[in-house]
Amino acid sequence: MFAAMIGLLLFLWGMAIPLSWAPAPIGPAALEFTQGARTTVVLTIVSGVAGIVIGILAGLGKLSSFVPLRWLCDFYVWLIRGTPLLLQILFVWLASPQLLPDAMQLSDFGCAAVALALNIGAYNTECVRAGILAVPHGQVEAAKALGLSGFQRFMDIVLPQSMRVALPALANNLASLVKDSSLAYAISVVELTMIGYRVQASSYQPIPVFLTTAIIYLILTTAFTSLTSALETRLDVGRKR
Amino acid sequence: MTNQSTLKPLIEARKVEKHFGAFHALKGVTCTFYEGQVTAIIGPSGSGKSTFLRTLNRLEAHDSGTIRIDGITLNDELKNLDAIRREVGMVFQNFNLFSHLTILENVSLAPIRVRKLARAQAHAKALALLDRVGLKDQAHKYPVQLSGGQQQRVAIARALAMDPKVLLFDEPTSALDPEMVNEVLAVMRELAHTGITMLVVTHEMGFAREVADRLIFFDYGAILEDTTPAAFFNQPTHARAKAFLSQVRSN
Repeated sequence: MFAAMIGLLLFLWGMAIPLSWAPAPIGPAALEFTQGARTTVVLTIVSGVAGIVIGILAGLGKLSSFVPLRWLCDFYVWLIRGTPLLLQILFVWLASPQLLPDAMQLSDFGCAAVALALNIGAYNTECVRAGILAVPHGQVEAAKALGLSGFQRFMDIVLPQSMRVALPALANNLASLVKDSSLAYAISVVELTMIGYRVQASSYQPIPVFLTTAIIYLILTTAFTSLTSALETRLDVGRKR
Repeated sequence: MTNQSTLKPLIEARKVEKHFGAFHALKGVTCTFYEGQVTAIIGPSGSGKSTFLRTLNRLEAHDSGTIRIDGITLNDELKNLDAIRREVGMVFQNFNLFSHLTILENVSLAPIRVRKLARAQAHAKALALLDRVGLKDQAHKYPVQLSGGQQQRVAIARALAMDPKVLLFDEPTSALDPEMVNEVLAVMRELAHTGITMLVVTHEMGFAREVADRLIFFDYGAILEDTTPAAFFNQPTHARAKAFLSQVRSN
């Protein structure tokens, strides 16, 4: 797990050096590519973490015995899954200045992060719900019988066991998120795809530019998936194989 | 039976009723259990004996009637429920060990979380209990790596770690392979001699006869006999009890 994390950090920190060796139009734009990749990674991590929290809360909400809360979470998942991500990003970007007070205005990056978090949160909701449903009832009964409170039962027993089940699906969503973050370019967030587009537009050489962009995306998704599969191995204790 | 007038009542159930939909599972069960008593609860499947046991720590909520444990009334108040569950340990048919935690963590979790014991202290106590059930050397394994009999012995240690006033056993040997039944019964027998209050729902007639102070026969959601094991096995009075015994013996 540490290896994957360190690999990702090393790549983000040092990728400008090999890129600068490349011929034009890539070499001169090495620093911009690096900045873009960093923005993509930060956007993925911020919205990914927020999306996990949203997924857990809404997943719990969908299983709640309180009916209005269940409806609210059902409505949220239905709305997000039924509309395009690009529309959601544009909506947050264009509507939030009108909806939010002046003190709470979001940057372009903030709008993209909010929209992506809400989007992946809806998909995570279903994974978390499935994970919670997969925890055998006897585990909860044993925790009750020992006198653990509802919160302790959830944090100590249900959440770790459900994450073990939900993690492969959550990792899948995270891999999509790395790539979905490219839609932020539509609201002028200067992330990797935006850089690729700009470099291509000034050099008129789409083939090397977009190939380079694609390779950087591939390295990023590989780093993220090896991170999550390392996490999976760590969580996967005490299970029958 | 031991002289009940000198014993302190620990569990008092009065007219406990429970329905599952149209099924009337408990029909006004009234019974008092005393401190230090080992009670075997037997009866055919579906007779309500497990359901009754599960109402005592509110894994099933009773519909009406009252249950008082150590003077605290069992109801929807979380404060009462928490207080009761701290004092009532339970051992399940399917062990229900926490599969993502090691044996040591299984036994020490509740003392750390509920009794607020320091981690080192809880671990030392857990190891002592695991030693008592003969599994100290398995402390760092996961439940799935243990046999059924070993898992059930860990489950007993886990329940004991809370220093409960009473231990409920819900068919503790029914899910075990025959060769593992005895190792679990041996631990329970040893426990019974320490003076802890035990309620044991079981199909092990040998255990009931040999270890229990008191025997309760359940059928159709009611207590049909409440006597000593010797009296029950030698001279059952109720027709249902006679039929049950003859069926058990023919097996």
